[in-house]
Amino acid sequence: MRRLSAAFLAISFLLIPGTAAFSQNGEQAPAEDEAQMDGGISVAVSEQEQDILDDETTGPATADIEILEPIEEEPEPPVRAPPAPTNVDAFDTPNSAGDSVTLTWQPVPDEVDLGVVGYAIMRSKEPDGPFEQVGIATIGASRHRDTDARDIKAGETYYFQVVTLTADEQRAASEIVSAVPEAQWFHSGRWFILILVILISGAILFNINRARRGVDLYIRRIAGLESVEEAIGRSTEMGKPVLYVPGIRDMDDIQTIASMSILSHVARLTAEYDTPILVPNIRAVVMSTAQEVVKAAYLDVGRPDAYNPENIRYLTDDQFGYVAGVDGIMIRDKPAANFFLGAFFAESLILAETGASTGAIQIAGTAMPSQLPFFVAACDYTLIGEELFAASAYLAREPMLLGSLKGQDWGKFVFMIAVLVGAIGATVVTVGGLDPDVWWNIASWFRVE
Amino acid sequence: MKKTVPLAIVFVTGVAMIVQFFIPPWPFNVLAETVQSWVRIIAAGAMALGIASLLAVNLNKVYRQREGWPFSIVTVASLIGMALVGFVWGSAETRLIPVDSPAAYTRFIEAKNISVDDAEALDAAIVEEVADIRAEVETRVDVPVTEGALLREIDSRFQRRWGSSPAQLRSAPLVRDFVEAQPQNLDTVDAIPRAILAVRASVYEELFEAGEFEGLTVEEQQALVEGTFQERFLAAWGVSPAEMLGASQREVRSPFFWGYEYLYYPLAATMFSLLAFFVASAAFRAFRARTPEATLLLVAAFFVMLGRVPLGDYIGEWVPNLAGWIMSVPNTAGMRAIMIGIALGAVSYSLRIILGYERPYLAGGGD
Repeated sequence: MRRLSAAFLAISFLLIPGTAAFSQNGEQAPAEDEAQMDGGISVAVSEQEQDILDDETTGPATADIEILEPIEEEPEPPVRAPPAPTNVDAFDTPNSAGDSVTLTWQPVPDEVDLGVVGYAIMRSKEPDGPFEQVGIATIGASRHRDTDARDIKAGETYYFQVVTLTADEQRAASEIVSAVPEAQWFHSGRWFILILVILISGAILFNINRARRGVDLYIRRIAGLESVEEAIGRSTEMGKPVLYVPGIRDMDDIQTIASMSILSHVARLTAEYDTPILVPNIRAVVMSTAQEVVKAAYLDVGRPDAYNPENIRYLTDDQFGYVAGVDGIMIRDKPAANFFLGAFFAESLILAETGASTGAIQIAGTAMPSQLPFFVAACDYTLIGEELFAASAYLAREPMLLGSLKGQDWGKFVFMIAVLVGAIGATVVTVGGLDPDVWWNIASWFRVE
Repeated sequence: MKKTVPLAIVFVTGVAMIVQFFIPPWPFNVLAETVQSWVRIIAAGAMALGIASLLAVNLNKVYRQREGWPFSIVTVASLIGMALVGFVWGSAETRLIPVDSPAAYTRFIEAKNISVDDAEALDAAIVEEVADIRAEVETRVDVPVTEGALLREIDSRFQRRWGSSPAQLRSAPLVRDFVEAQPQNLDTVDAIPRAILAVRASVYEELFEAGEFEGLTVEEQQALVEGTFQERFLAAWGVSPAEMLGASQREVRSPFFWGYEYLYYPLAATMFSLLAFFVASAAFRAFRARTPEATLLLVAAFFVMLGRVPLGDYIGEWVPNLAGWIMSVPNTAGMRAIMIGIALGAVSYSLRIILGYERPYLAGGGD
């Protein structure tokens, strides 16, 4: 029975067009032998297939032909072999570190009908292989970026094939293409940013220099920062502590760094007024930094004895656990002034509304645009975006720091001109006064890759 | 020196981070990622400082019996409890526990008066027991549940009642045969996975000694071992190794995950859900039309909200169109202006730090 079924399976396999083994480049394997069968059917039998027949039968494959009646049943519909991708090209990925090659190809037409499920990206260091699969592209894809800092080295030649994969595990490999990755020494898609950085940095440095020479620079009044002293004074009068929340990001966030600068000024004032300052933290590194900042401020003012490290404490790394902790402090200790300065997310409104319910004067500031409306609605003063970064310079009133704010304003002026030109250009294109292609070519120069 | 070294480090690092944005080759292509890894390592190390601070503040509060000190006990107990649970049972979502299915099988057939190895009677008794539990679950569950959830509950109750699942009970004689056939005495059921692995090791050894691995890659060798092992195991014991393993142990939620899922998660969700109430109270305050700006905000918000609900469509097509225009034109313009300001502010502030004009990291300016 085993012999019968094995022979039946082997011969059925051979009779189904398209199921014969394919070599890696998509060509049909050469015929090794031919078996003449009853009924005049002649099929090609590969060496491997002949082995199967020889193993499972006592004689040659033709010995069992007379009992193979099932093959006269209606044959299964033929499976169409997928074609290989065409127009395959491999080239050095632009603006890369020499560890990347990009491949493009023409996807197989009728992918869905042929049961194509994707394309395997094969790579080899030799033109003849062996090829190793280094990536998979999805159906419909015509581009793949092969980046591998470990295995791809600049200046060496790599060979690639793109192989069509089907649901019934058929493969059809494309022609072999090669590429030599090279490292580029400058990212050509970032010229615009470099010019902008030079312009803005130049404006800032120029104004810092002007301020150093004693030029009087006008900086507009920021109500939230003017009220810092008033809020701390109120806390002192009421005999209540000041609460300072430095946001929920770690020290690698520029908003947290800016918050530490402001904390230094606030802590100086609380030290001068002998008012306790509470700084609950969500990150241990921020806690450690805040302890140092507050301690230094108390030392500067000559009140090291009033510094209490327990007031600058760690609560938890969890967002809503932290909110619960800070809300608890607000409800229990009833601080008369709350500062929310740093990066905030969904907790912003919970904190600000709890603070508002305790009657504290509240000053908030963040560079998270989506949280600003919540702070505006629930706090007395809000530092909007850039004002958070300007706060330390504004509070310190040092000419050099104020000079940087003036340089920042110049940068803003450049952006205003650019927005104006962009709006006019887009309008002219819309009314038909300018070829859209010309306009998009100009606009694309400002695009950052 | 105390001031110069940190300033130099900040300057060099800051400039390097700007340069890496424009220059692709090594080492600039890995610089940002490497520095981020350092930050993560420092943050992990600093966690000890955080825990020390938490313990110091709360234990001091308990010691001095300050107001609310019992809450500090809960905080410290939770911290230590979760840490211990994680260290002892691991922090993975599930863990495997051994199931003594032969013992459960003996208990079951004795209780049901079934003779040993009477598979038909065993199957009928299991079906009857499952039907009994299903009836019990269906009468007690007062909320609609999916069939999958119902089956899991039945399985769980069956396990609690008999110490093994229905499927494990059915395979129990196979497990018993396997245990009895092992050369060494498997006195604990969790030794079964080791015994299964020992069978696999013997297959590997046999193939190796027969020289079957010659000329094969590592992957091909592994495939040969795995195929031979699976085939032989199935032929010898009537079940695959995975099924044998499944019959001898089961997955349960780890205690750490239980604490996370049923204690921490509802607490965090409760805090988050407060937002809904605070949005209402903040909106009430913001929309009081006391100034022209607040009135404008109120009118804009009214149309945006109306345009996002079916009533807006019912009133007329212009309502959702107006809502869309408010969001995509004035709102987007305002947001973009704020974003440009933020970007410029961040550049200016970064430059002040890199050049050493501002030194928050030196705690007091390094003077």
